[in-house]
Amino acid sequence: MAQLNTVIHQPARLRIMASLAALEEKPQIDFSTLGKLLKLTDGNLGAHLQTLEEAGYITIRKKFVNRKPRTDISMTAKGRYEFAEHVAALKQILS
Amino acid sequence: MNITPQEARDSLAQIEDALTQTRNAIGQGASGGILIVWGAIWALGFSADQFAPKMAQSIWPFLILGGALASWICGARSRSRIQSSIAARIGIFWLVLFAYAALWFFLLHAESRPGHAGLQFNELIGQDDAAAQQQLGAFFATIPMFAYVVGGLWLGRFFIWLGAGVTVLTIAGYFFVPAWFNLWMAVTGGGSLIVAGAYIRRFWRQTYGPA
Repeated sequence: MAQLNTVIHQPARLRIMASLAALEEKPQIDFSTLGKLLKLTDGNLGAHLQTLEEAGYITIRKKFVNRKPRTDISMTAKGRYEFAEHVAALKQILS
Repeated sequence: MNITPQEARDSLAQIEDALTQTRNAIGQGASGGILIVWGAIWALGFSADQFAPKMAQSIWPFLILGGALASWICGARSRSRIQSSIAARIGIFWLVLFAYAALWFFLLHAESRPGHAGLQFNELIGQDDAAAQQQLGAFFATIPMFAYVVGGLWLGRFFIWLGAGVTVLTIAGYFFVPAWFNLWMAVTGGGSLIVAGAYIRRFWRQTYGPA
């Protein structure tokens, strides 16, 4: 039976994980695009990303593109699995 | 951890909302620039069909190749912000559609098949060159619009309205202004694509900032 995930269940983190899941295989999105997409401030987004990274659900990679710093966010295989489990658990509650 | 059914329902709604927003962003990412490019190509190509039909035959292949190259550049630029297998599949889908259109262009213009007598399209339907050319023009204009309608089911209603709207304009022009059909397509078809592209580009820049 699927279990709810306390890290993912927080609303902002749930939306972050859903957004990354929507990118399907080999997903990657830059920090500012993700923040604007989900209407989260940089500070708020940064804090939630750190929590997700510590849980091993996402990876954060900083790099330079055209001499400008950029932060790319990707979902790990573990994150994808845990998110799918969480969604399954939510659906079980309703069924 | 225990939650109520209402909380579960709310969480699933939030997930669905984030999924939809992200898919829309993927769909819109490159399409603003691509629509502007193809709107300009339609405007130029159909204007040539109207005012210089003989020259148009040699202009169209260059326009289409240029459009394909510009579309690829637009797609590659949008990948820098959001990388997704969906975006790659959209690109492959357009390539397949392009090949399908090219195949039909060849089939409708093939004069003969090995071992069989064949007819050109305009001879087959018993009409003059201009009418047959308009039918071909309407057919090839509606192929990408059909793709926008179908793609819009996943990537946002905006594309459904765009595809359906330009298809209706094409049919209206074909039946009601046959003498000026190509000019009609240049202005209304090309114009719609340019306006739609500019709208998406403006929306994208306002929401996510310049690329």
